[in-house]
Amino acid sequence: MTIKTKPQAAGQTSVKRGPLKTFLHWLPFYLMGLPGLIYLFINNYIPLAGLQIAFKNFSYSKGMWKSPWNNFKNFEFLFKSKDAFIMIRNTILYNVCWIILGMVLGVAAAILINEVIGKVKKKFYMTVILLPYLMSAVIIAYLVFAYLSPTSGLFTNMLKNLMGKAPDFYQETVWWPFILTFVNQWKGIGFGMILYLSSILGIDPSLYEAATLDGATRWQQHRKITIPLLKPTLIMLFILNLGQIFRSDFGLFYQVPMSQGALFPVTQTIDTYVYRALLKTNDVGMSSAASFIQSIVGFIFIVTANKIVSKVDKSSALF
Amino acid sequence: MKKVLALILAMVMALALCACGPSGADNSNPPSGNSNPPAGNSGEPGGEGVINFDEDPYEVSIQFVGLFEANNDVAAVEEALNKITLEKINCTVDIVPVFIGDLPTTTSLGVAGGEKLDIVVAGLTSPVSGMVSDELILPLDDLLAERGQAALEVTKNVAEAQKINGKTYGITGCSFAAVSGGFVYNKTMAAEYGIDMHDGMTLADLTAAGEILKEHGVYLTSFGNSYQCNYKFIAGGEYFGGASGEYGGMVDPANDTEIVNIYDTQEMRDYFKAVKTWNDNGYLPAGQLTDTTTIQEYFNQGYLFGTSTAYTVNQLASWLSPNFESGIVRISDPLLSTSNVTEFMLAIAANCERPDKAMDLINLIYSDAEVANLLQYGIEGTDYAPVEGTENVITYDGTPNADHNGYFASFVHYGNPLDLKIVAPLTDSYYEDVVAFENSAKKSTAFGYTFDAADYSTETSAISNVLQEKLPMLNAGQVQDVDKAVDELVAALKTAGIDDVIAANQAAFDAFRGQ
Repeated sequence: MTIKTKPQAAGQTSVKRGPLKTFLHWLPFYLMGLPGLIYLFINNYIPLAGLQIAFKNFSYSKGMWKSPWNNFKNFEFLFKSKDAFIMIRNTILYNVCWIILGMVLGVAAAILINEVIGKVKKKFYMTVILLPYLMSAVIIAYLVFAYLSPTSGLFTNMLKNLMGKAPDFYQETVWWPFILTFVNQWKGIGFGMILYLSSILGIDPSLYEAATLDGATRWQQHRKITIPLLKPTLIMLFILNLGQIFRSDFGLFYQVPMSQGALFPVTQTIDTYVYRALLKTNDVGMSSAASFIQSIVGFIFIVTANKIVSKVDKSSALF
Repeated sequence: MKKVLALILAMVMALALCACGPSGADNSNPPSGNSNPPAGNSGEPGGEGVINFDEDPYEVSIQFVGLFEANNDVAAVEEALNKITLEKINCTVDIVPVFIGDLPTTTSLGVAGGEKLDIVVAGLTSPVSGMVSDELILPLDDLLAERGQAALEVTKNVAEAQKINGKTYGITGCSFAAVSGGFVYNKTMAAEYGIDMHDGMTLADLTAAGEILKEHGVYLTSFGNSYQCNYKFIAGGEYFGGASGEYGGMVDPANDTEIVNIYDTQEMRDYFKAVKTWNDNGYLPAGQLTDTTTIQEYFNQGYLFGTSTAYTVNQLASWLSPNFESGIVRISDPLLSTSNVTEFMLAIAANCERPDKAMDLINLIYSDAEVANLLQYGIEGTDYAPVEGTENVITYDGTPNADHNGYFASFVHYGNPLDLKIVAPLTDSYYEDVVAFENSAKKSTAFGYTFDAADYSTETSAISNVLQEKLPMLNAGQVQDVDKAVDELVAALKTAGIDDVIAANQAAFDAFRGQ
């Protein structure tokens, strides 16, 4: 009872104090938050003014504010060309596939690591799985090349010896959806695993103890306890990933296929297209426009996904 | 303060006295004659009385574009330069080394952010027309007329090519701008295997060479994963919009006035077919499309015989190897075209505080051989050494700058080429050769013409993508059927809108010729 009455009393007194007094009461906390808010303002809000560049015929000497507007002309190059369909299709399909696959494999890896007994072994496996995440795309490109090179590739030569001939991987599009998916998951699984593992470690062990006493198998424990309790993390990561659906890992799509023209139909994404298209023209307005579109689409996806989630299960929604 | 003032006044008086002598008799070298280059003071910067010696000396910054050289001697070179510049044009020089990959962003962000920029290098990494439409650089005509006489004189033969829409925006470092297609090769190997390399070789001659080389286990050449059109080096021609002819081109630019899609010509098909036979016969390495080793490196190792390249009098200098003798043959006729002139230009940044002082320095670079040589090569004795028995040949070998970390930039050409020393293995005959080569060149009908494609950025970006997708395989001869692949390329270029770009280019070109 005492606990319940106290906040009420506090609330009543604060009403009596008036807005100024309330403000003064919370002032120390505001002050504590101030540096963070200032940082956020400088770093995340002031640059928003630069969004106008996407709608301007940018001139370096006139600067951002004085450059003339050219409405949506900067956006045309993304949609008017015949490549638009291919790059948007590639970007979205790869992302959708990888978001789902990343979840399944990430959770699986987290559960398996969690099953490993022995601190040293656990740390060892975690490091090994995480290592590719820390590698640069250029190094990964050469690792892949070491396997698939038409002349000296390990894998190509193995196929040549076993079957008499090997496909020319860097000239045939059919392999790349699989190669890219493999590389992406191999590279990214470690990071996802750590996020899920930290949630798993937060699960109350008594739940598992109780389940064991009731005779639940390992599989049942994970199905009925681990996965349901991971749901908030899964949904949060899913929504956040949707915000990146119009973007792509430039290094993966540009470096790993060695920028081979023959592979463009399956490796061209919005980012690589923008890079290749503007390599020569150096047009700030057009590249801002591309980035602007990516952000807008990501924003729409996040808000929509969140709306749907909050309709289904309000507590799991992000905001 | 008084002391400084007195000093400056004294200097002005002294200079005024000096200036009385050679004024009027403007000795700036006519580019056709071979005057002895490092002769010292030649010509007067600007006109008399233009330079104000009463003010505090302004510091003019100038870009110095190279790779990853340390440039440890920049301060010493600046000091040596300042002695001359303070006396002659009352300013000091700030040499700013820039990595070539950073050049476009350094310049554009510098202008946008109002950082100190005076003389910038234009045309090297981004086309001058683009820099003009982005308003990165200033029009120079008034400044040139007022205080750039020497610069105008040196570049007068290529003056029209320095102009965009009738205004001059940059002064070229390539006032001898003739270029032809060529093939650089391993001369030692050619002698050993009995390969006859001569000027005016044809594709068939190269094919024959490839056959001989194959017997000895050496590749004829390699194209890498390149989307520039190598045919240009075989046949010459005028290509608009860079080395792959994004805005169309002319096959015979000395006579043609019609701009066509160069990929839709029979000559191009024949060329690609020849390359395909090279590839099918094993004259080209199998993995060339994914091979990231540079052609220079393979050439040095003797893994390949040679490569097609642009031919100029000093081109061979970049293909020397300690292991063998290199040679170069001319394949197409020399041509004067705008793109060669605009490759190495000095321009003045739009946010330059004192364009007049920047122009004074540019003019001094073009009139004073000592300044040009200091800026280009550094200090004699530390950064380079004269080669004995020659007049103007220098070498880096045996100097502290042998590793190029003292003072070296591969991507700058300052001043009058006839004023500059030359690097071995070029010989003193260079000065005559370069003039002779220039005089033997035909002028492209489009000389002085530049197409500004700013209104067609949607089309040009799509075209650029198509070329990056389809051209490397054709270049490497790795397509199944050349005709089919060329048809596909041409169709894709059409869908990307190359016809609209070419039509606009033709209209602008006709207007240019009508002037």
